[in-house]
Amino acid sequence: MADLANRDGLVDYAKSLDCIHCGLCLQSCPTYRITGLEPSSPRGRIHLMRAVAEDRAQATASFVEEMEFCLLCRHCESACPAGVRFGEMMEHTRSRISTHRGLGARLARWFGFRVLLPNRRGLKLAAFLLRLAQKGGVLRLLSKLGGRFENLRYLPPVPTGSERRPLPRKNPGRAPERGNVALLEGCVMPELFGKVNRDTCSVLNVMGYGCALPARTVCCGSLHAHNGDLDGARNLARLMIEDFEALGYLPVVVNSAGCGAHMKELHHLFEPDDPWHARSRAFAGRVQDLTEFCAENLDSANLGPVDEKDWPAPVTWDDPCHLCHAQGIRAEPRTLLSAIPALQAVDLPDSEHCCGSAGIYSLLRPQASGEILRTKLEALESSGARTLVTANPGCQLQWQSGLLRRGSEVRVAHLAEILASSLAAD
Amino acid sequence: MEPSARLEQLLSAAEIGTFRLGDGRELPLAAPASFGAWSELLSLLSRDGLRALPLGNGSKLERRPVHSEIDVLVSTRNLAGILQYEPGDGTVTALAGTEWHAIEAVVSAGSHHLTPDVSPAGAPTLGGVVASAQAGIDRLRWGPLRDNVLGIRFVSGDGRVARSGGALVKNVTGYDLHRLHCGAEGSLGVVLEASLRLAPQPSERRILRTRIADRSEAWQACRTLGRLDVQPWTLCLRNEDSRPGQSPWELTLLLAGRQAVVDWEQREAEAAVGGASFEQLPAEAYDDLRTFADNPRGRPALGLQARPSQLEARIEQALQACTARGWRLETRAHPRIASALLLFEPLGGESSFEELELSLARIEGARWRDLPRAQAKNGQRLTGPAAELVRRLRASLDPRGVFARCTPHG
Amino acid sequence: MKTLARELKAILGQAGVIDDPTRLVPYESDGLALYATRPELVLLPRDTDQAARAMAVLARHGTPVVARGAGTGLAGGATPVENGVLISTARMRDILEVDPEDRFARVQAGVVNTQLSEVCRGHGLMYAPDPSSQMACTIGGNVANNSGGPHCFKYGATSRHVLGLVLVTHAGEVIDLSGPWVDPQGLDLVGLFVGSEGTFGLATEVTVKLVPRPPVVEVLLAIFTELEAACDAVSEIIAARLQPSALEILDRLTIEAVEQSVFAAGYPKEAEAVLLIELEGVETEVSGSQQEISAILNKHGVLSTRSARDASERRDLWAGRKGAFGAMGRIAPDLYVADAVVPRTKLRALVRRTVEICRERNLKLANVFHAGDGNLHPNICYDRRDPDEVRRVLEAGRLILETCVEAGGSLTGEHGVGLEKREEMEIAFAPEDLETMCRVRDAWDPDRRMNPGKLLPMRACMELRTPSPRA
Repeated sequence: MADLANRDGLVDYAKSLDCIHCGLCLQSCPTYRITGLEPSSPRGRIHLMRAVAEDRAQATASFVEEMEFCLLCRHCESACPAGVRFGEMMEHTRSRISTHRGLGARLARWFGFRVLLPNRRGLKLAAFLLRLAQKGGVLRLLSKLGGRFENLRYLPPVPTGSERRPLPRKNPGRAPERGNVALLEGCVMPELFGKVNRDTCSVLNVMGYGCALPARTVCCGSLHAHNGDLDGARNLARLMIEDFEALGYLPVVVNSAGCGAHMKELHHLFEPDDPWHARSRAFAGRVQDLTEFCAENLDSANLGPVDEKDWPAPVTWDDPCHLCHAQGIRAEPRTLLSAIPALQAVDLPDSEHCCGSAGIYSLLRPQASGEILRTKLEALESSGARTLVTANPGCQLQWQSGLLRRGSEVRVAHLAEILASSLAAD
Repeated sequence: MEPSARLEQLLSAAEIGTFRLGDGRELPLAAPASFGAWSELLSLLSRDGLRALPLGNGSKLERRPVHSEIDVLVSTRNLAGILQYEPGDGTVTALAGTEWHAIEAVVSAGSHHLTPDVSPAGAPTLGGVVASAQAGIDRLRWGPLRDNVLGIRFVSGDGRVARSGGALVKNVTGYDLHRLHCGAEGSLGVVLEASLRLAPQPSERRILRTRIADRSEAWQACRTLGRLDVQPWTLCLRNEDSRPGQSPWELTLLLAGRQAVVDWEQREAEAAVGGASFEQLPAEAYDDLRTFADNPRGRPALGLQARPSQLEARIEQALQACTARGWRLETRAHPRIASALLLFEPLGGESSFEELELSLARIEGARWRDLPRAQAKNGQRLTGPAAELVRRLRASLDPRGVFARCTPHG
Repeated sequence: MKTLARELKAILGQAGVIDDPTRLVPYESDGLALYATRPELVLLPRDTDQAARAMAVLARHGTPVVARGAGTGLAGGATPVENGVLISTARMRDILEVDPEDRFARVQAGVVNTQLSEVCRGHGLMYAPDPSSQMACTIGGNVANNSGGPHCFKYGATSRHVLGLVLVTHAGEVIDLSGPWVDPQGLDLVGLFVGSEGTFGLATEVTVKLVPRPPVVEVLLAIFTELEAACDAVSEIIAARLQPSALEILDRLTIEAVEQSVFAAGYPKEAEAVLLIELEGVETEVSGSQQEISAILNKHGVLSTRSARDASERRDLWAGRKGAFGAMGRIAPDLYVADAVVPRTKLRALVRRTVEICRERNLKLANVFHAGDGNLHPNICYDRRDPDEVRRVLEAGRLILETCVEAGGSLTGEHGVGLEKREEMEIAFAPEDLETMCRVRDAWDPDRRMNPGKLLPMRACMELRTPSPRA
């Protein structure tokens, strides 16, 4: 690949100046932890960006590789005393890198980001084919090819068609009614975690909230933004904002931490003088993660014991990166879990470390992703937990696949499932 | 020319004398009174290829054998005086020939405690305490000497006077050459001046003692005390006579600090070690406790170090060796520091101390101070690259090999 | 360099040698980004054996070597040298042994400071030295710099906690001094090595002392309307022979930066200075000291004093203090951190002088320091793209150091001399002192290949014309 010049603003230079080179971010970074390499650390990546911007280094293939090796978990932002906005810098640089990819990669990305993700029918078809392949043993055969294909074998099974049915557009709250909220169903969620969406909806309904779903929104665009397709992300953002505004200016509840983090920062996609900036900022202000919404509005008196058969004790909470580092939500899910009667909860060591899922990262870089997950699995084992609770589909998949590979019995739950079980016991 | 004649050319009459070593050798002694004179003296010795052994008042040489050829003794005794005592900062700087207990008197008037709290026997000097890395009765609380020496000035073998560190409690400017000189026994240079960190003087000091007949019970009691939040200044064990039924194990605890804390610590200690069996000793007993590391009757003595968890077993092995070879053993141990002084006395048996030493040297996991013959035989001294490094280090500070070594590992 | 890289790859594997020019760029600086030199190669050995074999190859090629832990040092100690290689300990991060009974641990040099303390926590023990960068910095780096930290006021700096080392010499030989022993056998090589800033050799394994965690900990936050009054209070606490475990001062600008950061801990923004005091020990000890300290604080006009409610507030206050350096990034892109030590009787006068020196040069100064040890950290915030400002910063920095040394202080309390204060060593030491240090250095590294150009002024060593002790 040809070296990239900085003339097209490869680096968000102003933001890179906030970094004072103290290195407190190093141990937070999953890629630094597995490699021990400075260029694979947040400080090293910023140093590289800055060197490129100052014309002291070329944006070579290795530069691109180090940028793409990052999981964008944003753990470094939680560690950074100088408040460096690493996520934004990385999204910026990735968006500029993306125009320089090879044809094959460009085609695949175009198909994935522009065709598949924003299209419900396409996603349905993909889920159907995947399920067929799993049933028919095609994946098992493919996995024998080894390499990147090996992981296919440990993909958790795609649920049956009935599990994958979409949520109704309107879901009335139980009396006494407390109002309505808008719900994001998501792109992959309905196909792989339909039950989580139904549980989310039912938890909100039991709390007295009606759930309204937007007509056209499929994907929020977070995967696009993280992977350098900022134009795609902007298109989806505009669609999503209009779509949600049409429901009336309701609170927007999101049960996927990655989507929620993106939606809360949607205005970063637009220049301040763009009319969409103010509009997206207003939208972002209405977004709440499910854990946040429930911690504030759920009456813990209604919580009953969780069904031990489904979710054996003890349970433990694993912080999704985009919940704790991007949204700063740490206490809420723990408060909710501790409010459930007789629920035995244990701490997961290093729960704020990334599990290696990072959107489509686990598919693109199975080896690194697996190595990052390994220490998480060890931590899980040491905690003695039998149910792991999280709140992000990517993490859920990653954990399930890792546990499957280990032959572990530990269950993986979305917090919505635990809450639904607890509310159902009443 | 005779060494003594050379000295007379250089130094005044007051700076020259003689000194008799423990083995009876009487040697000329030079005691320059200024840094400049020290520099000239060492330049001269270095030029003439003479061998010198540094000393202060000679408190450590009277009984200890000196294993080298020596032409002249060099003493810091004419280099005395406190240069700076800063009560508000807790540091003191003095010339090396200043008597340790003279410094102590000054700083204790300023409510400071001088550590290490060493025995006054033989009137040790600051330089001597530093060069021998002497341990005091307060080591458990305030650490080894090398942790409390903040800086020194010293003269190298070729007459260069240099300084490292300073009179500051925290300082990483340059190499810690002062650490290197702590315990080097004057083999790299003569310490001319040193700065020390001072500890606060405790408002209350209490000595508690209990006697336990059974050895393993006594050691168990030390382990129990070690696990408490109590922070004694001393926790030592003494057994005067190793023969069965001859003498109990005497456990002594020195508590010091704020009175309320000492009261609390005493209660904790008593509760942990079977009720109120501790006897509180009068204040005068402190002077006695300070001599814990002395060897009053000049018996053959060895220092033993091991890991804390292994010290008891190593002493037990030493005890068996003594029994087998017809020797009586007195043990003076600091179980929490993991060091002990072993004093030997013959019971009129056949075997010589040399033979006993050899069997002691075979004890695994033990490290002996003052065990020259056995150590040489067991190859415990540094070898390979480490030995080569030490050789180069010595050459860097003493290129002509002026400084004799008092002990083989000094 | 190509043959060298090939030979080294045969020892360290492909992943153990970085020669890609782009990937070498982030290694050009350590925590002091003012200096940058690109290394020819970066080596990442996994253990002592690999490190020794690599060092032997480098010795044969006569290549200069700089060691790097996490690169958090603030004096340029790990800045690479021209035509040299960097040895990173980032892949030597195993905890080899923890012995709770005899209270020591043996770790590889690349183990991170907090990681060690975490491992010991279950045994009720800790590794005491706690540099502010402890969540990133390595034990090997701590050994090289004899690192300090807030709690070194009570526990002492790194050298008091190192019981043994495994060293790789300039020639690639291994010296095993891992111990642990109560006292060194013969010369205290370990004590000499600690703080030698990579100029003596490479430490690959470290045996450290572990100490029991205190039963009771209390953190007091004393708020002052004057920085100088806070300094006086500290001087008097020391003079009263009181022994808190930490005494830290943060001034207004520091508080502002910290409170804007992720480490916001509730430091009062209206204060001119806060004094953070930690007391630990048994209950009676802590309450006794607290009373005496409160009386001193009142005497010096403290606005208010409160104790941290619980462990989590204590943790937050400390996180805020330790994140202070990084938080300065909010004030300006670059930071000059001085590290002078002064006698604790002279805190007020010297802190005032540093403030004046910076004010005269129109520089932004934030003071945050280990007051109990007299270890000042005047932090001057600047932008290195402004050459005139850089000039004024360096001038102020040198003046501050000169002032402190003149008052009986030293150049550095915990960051080390490195590249940054190398020439200032001539302020602190006489030529004979430096010459002696050079000789000792030559004894360890006769070829002068280990971290050359660091710690000692160029001139002092250049003038040393004695035959090499090896000859």
